[in-house]
Amino acid sequence: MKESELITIDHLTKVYPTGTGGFKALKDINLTFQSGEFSGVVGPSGSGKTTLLNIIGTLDNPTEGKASVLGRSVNDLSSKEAARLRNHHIGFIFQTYNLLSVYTVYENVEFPLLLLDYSSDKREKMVMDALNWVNLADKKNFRPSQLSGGESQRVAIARAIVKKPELILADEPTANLDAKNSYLILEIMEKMNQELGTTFIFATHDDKVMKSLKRTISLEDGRVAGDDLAKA
Amino acid sequence: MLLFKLAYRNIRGAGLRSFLNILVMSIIFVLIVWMQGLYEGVTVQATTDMIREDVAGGHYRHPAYDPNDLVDLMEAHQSYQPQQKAVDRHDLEPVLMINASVYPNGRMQSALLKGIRPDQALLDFPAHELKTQMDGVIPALIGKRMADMMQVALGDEFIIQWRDRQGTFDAATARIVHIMTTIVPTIDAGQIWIPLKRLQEMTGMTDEATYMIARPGFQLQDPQNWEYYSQDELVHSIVNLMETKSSGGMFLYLILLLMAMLSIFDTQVLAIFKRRKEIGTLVALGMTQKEVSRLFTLEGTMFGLLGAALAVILGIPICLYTWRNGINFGPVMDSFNLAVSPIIYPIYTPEMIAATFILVLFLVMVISGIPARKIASLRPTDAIAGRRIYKVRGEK
Ligand SMILES: Nc1ncnc2c1ncn2[C@@H]1O[C@H](COP(=O)(O)OP(=O)(O)OP(=O)(O)O)[C@@H](O)[C@H]1O
Ligand SMILES: [Mg+2]
Repeated sequence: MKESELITIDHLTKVYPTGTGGFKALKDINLTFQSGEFSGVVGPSGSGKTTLLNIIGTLDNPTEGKASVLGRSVNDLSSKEAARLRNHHIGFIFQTYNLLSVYTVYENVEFPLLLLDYSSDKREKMVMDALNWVNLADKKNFRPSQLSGGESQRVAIARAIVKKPELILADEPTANLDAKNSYLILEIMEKMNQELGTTFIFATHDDKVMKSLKRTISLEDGRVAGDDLAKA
Repeated sequence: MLLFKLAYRNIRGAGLRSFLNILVMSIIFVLIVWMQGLYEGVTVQATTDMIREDVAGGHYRHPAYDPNDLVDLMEAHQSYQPQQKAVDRHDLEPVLMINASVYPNGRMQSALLKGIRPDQALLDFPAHELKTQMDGVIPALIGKRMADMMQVALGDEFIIQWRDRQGTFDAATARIVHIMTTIVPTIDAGQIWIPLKRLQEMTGMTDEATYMIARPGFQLQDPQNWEYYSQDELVHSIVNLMETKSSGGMFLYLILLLMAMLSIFDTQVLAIFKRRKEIGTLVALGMTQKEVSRLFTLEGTMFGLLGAALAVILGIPICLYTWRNGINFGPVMDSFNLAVSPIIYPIYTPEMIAATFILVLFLVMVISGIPARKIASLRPTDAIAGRRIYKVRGEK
């Protein structure tokens, strides 16, 4: 593995067990991602985007082939090791925000830092930093139910970046947002990518997201159908 | 430590819902303790009254006398002449029993005629009321329950019909000279007390008795044909009888436990359905599924502990008040044929309270643990998406 290679995927196949012998969601995928990329997996619904992101995020296992993330082989991680890897190095952003509804905005963003056992001073500084990134410091005591969709997704972004992870996986982050809010969060993520060097991998079929991607990987029926770098 | 903090945050964050859960838990705690205290109070009260009014130091019975089968007492009597000295000293108090028919207001009812000496001194029992001399008319003492059954009042007269020792029928008029209030059914229901001498004359059973009440501490050296039943035996047989009668209380107790379980069940077991997405999110954020299930178990247990704490705050004044002043169940109690006085003083023992708390908390923990295995087997990717699919065995 080369120094800058963050993720390598080698002959990866994913079969979901079904009643009738199993469904092949990913077929013989070979990909590498460099540190600092701002890339996306695109393709029609059911093409396997989420499946690929879940494996990269150590939430799921390959059926055949290998995936390694941050130098660790996803295949060989115990569930405890996988959890630690996610906790330290990977941030997730979901289509449905997935905020913890009984927590305030502040507590939601603070959560990954609690798991990391940081001191409360350190936590407070990092949480406020992240909330400033997404411009929501003034709503830190709100509950998720009091936020708009765009604000909710910005909180989810703050929660993903608060621990300064190497990698952020964003599965359809704009699917539930209007154009204005979509551009707003894209802008935030591009800025993070440039200033902090955070690697972003999207799964999307949103044109607005696709336009801002520096690299576009097309999936079709579980296979890689294209891998294009954006013309500068 | 972290899990404690998170469990606390979850409970605090759920606000009103948490509070209602805790309130229900605490009310159930208090109700269970209160009910048990009540039950304990009833038992102790009934026992002491029974000893004072019926049992004394124990009974010497004629071998054919069976309190559970009072239909035919014709064979259940014998002479107490060999024990005459003890009887004269009032160390033994003979009681003669025969079956009779009574005709209050013309209706026929069966009854037990019981003869006792009006100057008895062993029992807290108004036998002295039978001292009244009335030419020919038999003075009769009955309990309130029996007065209700016969629909008679003080001073009412009625006909008694009985058979003497040869089996010959005879009849006479009796008058109610006193109606006593007692909680002890074994001296009340179905029974008419008259002077012992009179009953012996009516039946020709001179110096005979069905059973003899013993002074506490007194023991016959040679009981001969009398079977001795100690105070403990007599009290227990009746307390056991009461326990079966109060199986309704047991039922209520189970309902309460069930309610406690339900309130926890709601937060805990349904959690894996309602909180599936949250579980997936926690896993994505870096918790293992084991940690998440431990967190949920801890949450349920904390509900139990907080419920217990609130129960202490709510329960102390309630329990103290009822312990001091008793609870007046008044007429409600009369409809039950239970040995219970209208005012009951609950008895709360530390053992009982501790046992209740431990039992409920144990159940809460067990129930809280139920979802743990389900959570551990949830597929995180499905959980995040809120899908209802469980992991296939052997998969990560
Ligand atoms: N747990 C599962 N069990 C069985 N089949 C599954 C499971 N998860 C996904 N699939 C199937 O795998 C295929 C790829 O699913 P995936 O969610 O990766 O698609 P996607 O590209 O993310 O689609 P979308 O754009 O709709 O989100 C789909 O056909 C889906 O039905
Ligand atoms: Mg998807």
